[in-house]
Amino acid sequence: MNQEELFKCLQQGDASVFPKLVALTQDMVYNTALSIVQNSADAEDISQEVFVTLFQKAGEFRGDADWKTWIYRICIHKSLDHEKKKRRMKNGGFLKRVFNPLPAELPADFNHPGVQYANKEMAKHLFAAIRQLPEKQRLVFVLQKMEGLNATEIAAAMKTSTDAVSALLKRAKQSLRKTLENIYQDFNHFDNN
Amino acid sequence: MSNKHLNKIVEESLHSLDGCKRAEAPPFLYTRIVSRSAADSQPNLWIRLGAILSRPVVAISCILIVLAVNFMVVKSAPQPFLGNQQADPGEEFAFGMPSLIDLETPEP
Repeated sequence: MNQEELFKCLQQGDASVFPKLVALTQDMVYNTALSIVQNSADAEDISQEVFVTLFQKAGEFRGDADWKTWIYRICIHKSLDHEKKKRRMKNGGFLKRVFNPLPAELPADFNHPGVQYANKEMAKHLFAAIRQLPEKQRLVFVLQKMEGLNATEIAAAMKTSTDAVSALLKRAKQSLRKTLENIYQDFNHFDNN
Repeated sequence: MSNKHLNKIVEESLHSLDGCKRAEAPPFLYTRIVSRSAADSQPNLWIRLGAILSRPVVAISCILIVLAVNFMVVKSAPQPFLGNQQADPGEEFAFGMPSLIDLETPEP
């Protein structure tokens, strides 16, 4: 039985296929969550939430999109929700967000386990820059780079048009270029002093 | 750092995620999902209520409603009619200076 057939069985109420479906899709969910929140413990928490929702709501899936797209949507929603909750938990988080709507804290030196060893250092700076992107640009960039989705798939997952996705990607790359330039210039400044 | 070198590093960084593999989910994820699902199926009313009330939007809305109700109650309360019945505080409490005669008259 392939993934799609397993999902259809779950949709029809056959709970016995759930462990297999989890085994086949857990890396996809975990990787997406990890790339968005850049924290392994949070990503595991989100993955659990995604699968619990998947189990509870599979019967409600109407089939207006691909089932994988639906899982991506749940994953994106849960990841963003988790980030918001985390920010709220911090003291004065709400007031900080009102007066300074930029992303809150940067996780220190996130290293994605799938990045090639030679690229680890540069990827670390890139993830720091990704963290500073506006929400939609960040999602588009992460889904393309980390999950290898094309513009149509990203558009379906984010409920937007492919043109909007292309524009967001272009802006994301421009912003990342600027942020990385600042990061490397700062390093250069410190090295010289 | 020259501009050329900087641009090169930036471009390399932008492509540093090319060929990146998927991160593998931690072991025993399924077991944790099952235990979480079991915990979620018996939601504690107080925890759910607390979670709803702790949302900033809900909390601020509640405060605003309480303030608005307070304001309306204060505004709509009937003002007590004092009119002519109001006593002159000077008379009521005898704020005026007593005369020397009053002060020095010995009590019988």
